[in-house]
Amino acid sequence: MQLSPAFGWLLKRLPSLLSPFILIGVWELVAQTHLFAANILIPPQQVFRTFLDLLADGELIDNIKASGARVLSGFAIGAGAGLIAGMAMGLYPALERYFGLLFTVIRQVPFIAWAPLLIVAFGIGETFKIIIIANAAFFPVALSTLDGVRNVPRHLKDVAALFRFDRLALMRSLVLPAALPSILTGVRLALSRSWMIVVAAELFAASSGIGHMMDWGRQMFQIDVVMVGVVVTGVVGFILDQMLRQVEAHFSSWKLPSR
Amino acid sequence: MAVSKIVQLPTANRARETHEPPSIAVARRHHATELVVRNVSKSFNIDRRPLPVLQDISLVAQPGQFITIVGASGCGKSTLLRLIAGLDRDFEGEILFGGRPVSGPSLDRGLVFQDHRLFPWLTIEQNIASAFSSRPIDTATKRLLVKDHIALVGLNGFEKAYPHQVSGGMAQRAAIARALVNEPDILLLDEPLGAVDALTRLYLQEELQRIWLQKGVTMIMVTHDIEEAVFLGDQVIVLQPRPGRISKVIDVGLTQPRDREDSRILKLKKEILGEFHNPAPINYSI
Amino acid sequence: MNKHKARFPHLPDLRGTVPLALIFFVWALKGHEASGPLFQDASIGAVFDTGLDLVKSGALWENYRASLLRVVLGFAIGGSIGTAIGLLLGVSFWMDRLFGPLLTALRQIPIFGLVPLLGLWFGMGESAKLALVALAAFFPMALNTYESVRNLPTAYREVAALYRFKLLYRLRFVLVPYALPGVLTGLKLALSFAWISVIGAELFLSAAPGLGNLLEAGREQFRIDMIVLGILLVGGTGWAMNAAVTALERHLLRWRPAFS
Repeated sequence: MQLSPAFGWLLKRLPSLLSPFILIGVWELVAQTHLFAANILIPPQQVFRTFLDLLADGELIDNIKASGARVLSGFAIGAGAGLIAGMAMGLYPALERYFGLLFTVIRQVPFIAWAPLLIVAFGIGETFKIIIIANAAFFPVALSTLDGVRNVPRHLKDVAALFRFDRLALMRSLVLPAALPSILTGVRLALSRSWMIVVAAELFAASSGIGHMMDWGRQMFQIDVVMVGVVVTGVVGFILDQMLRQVEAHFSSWKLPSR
Repeated sequence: MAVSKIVQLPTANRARETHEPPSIAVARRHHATELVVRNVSKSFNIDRRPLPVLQDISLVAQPGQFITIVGASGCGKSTLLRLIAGLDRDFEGEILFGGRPVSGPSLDRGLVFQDHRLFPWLTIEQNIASAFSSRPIDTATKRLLVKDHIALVGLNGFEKAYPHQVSGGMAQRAAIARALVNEPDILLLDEPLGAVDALTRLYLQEELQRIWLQKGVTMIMVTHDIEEAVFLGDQVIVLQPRPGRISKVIDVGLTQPRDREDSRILKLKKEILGEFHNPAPINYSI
Repeated sequence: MNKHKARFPHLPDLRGTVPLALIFFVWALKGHEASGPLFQDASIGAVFDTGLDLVKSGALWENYRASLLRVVLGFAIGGSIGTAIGLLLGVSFWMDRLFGPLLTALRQIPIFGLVPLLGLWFGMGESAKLALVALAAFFPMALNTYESVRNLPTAYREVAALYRFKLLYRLRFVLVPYALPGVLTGLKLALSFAWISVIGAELFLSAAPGLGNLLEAGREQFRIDMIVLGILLVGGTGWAMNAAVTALERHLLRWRPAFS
């Protein structure tokens, strides 16, 4: 009686648990055939060995830390500014009428196209990287905050008016909680974009960071280092996304009824 | 199977030889098909433990009869219709239609769900026409059939409307037209008026009665509204819940259409209501 | 609510153009001061003149055309494979179970993280660029198709069973229309990702004509005109692609209440 539901659970999940092994298995098999040269395709265990080496000599950790620090500061600036801008425009519609168009125009240009202009203006150092990440983090948070604040259900606003909430009480007990699920979705998007962009920014030029490690690996024809980089960036991206999804799920469990 | 049915010539059927458009006559089939439900039981597995929903249900629907099944929510009445429709084949007992066991959905048995289930991306007309997509009928006949059934449910002028553009009651009429357009031998109605407002409901009950009289199709309708059951049914079957089982079968024995205020109707209403006031002890230890 | 509308009912609301005009004004006033060591000549007139030369000489068009070609080709490859795989995973129980989680995990790899790998695999030329663009378009297309196809409600499946819809009819009139909104969202995302990665590929993977190349050359030569033109074209094209899909959406999804 106890065993069979657990077994059923396992049977249901088994194929999904299998899928990474299938990928690795196919990868191994193709590598075994030696159809591709060793500088094109290497077997998974060699990638794993390189991973352990890079881990042991601290290089991988240092690079992840460097990229992480850039993401964190860029994201904090961009998301913070986005939160303020979104709130302000949501609460004072006149602001949106003045700045909405500017917003839309800037948003149309993909972050990558700003890079050359920013490099000309700020040089190729840390400033440029942090600005480009902040720029990318700004828009999802600003837009989702604006959306969340604007869509506070009308009937709740009526209740607040009825009880003569002051501005602070209105913010704390109505606007913020109502907008939170939407804001969190924006934050998740912003963080996953920041991670995507830090890798790109480091490809332009950097002396540290996971993107730098991969680019250096390419120039040295070290496919194993490049592969480790691909896997690590993927795993970090996955963890960041999952973490924020958990937060999102937690805070939207009391989701407000719409309208 | 469907093909051979279309070629069959119409035979004598009650109340509908006179003002019928030709298209309906072309595709019309012989309605002398009897539905027999014999000792049907059904249980769902919840957490690997069987939860009985229907227990030993037997009924017979004569061709052209209007049967209403009335019961509280959770008595398995919708499940019973799904079994008859062939959407669920996992049950004990026997369901025979025209002498043959039901083994899956068939165009002979129409079903109208409580939610109209029209496809929102198709117009009313296209939704109705979708019902015979799998039948080899020529386009002209199809067009005529759709037109006639739109007229039958009184939706003229809304052919090109999308479901979200019409009211709930109108959408449900379209769903009834979709179920009838194949000229099924039997129409199963799963609380079709459950989601419409009370005034529309009264009106649609009369519409349903008119359609039934006009088409002579067997109807089995599930409802939780006792008045509706008595007003429409030739026979009213009362179901008790947990597990769903038949507690009473009442032959109304009044001609249709009927007067809602008829004293005999009111008396039957009272009688059925009594069934629900002292129900059999409920077995909660599922 | 909208005071402006109440006060000036016949005037279009131009308040949004104020900041843009201000920026332009500051540039016109101060632009020549910024020229010097950092920029060649950033005054508004100079940028406009050299920009005009770029247009006249055909250099701009050559770069633009190359980028457009890449996005069309890359998107066609990646988008179609993505749609097919998403459909397959969404329809087939076993494919879903086996490869669904894998697809979700692989999506998390930052697209530009693949640049070094593709550089090694395909060299730094055209094929690496196309591969990057195709991959960028693949994931949003595959994931959105997969999610929308998989979520087909039982209610619709039952109607299809009840009326014995044949496979083709079921696809064309049930599955495809149901999945279409999600697929179109995927299309928007895929196009925008493909466009971003075209520019990225041109910046990172060797020099060949393209808007990324124009931007890069502008950076190396401190030519603001090239960069500004590049940014305008990149942004404008991205906007136009999005607007085109939105128009398509409005047309295809006209059965939805929100659009009528």
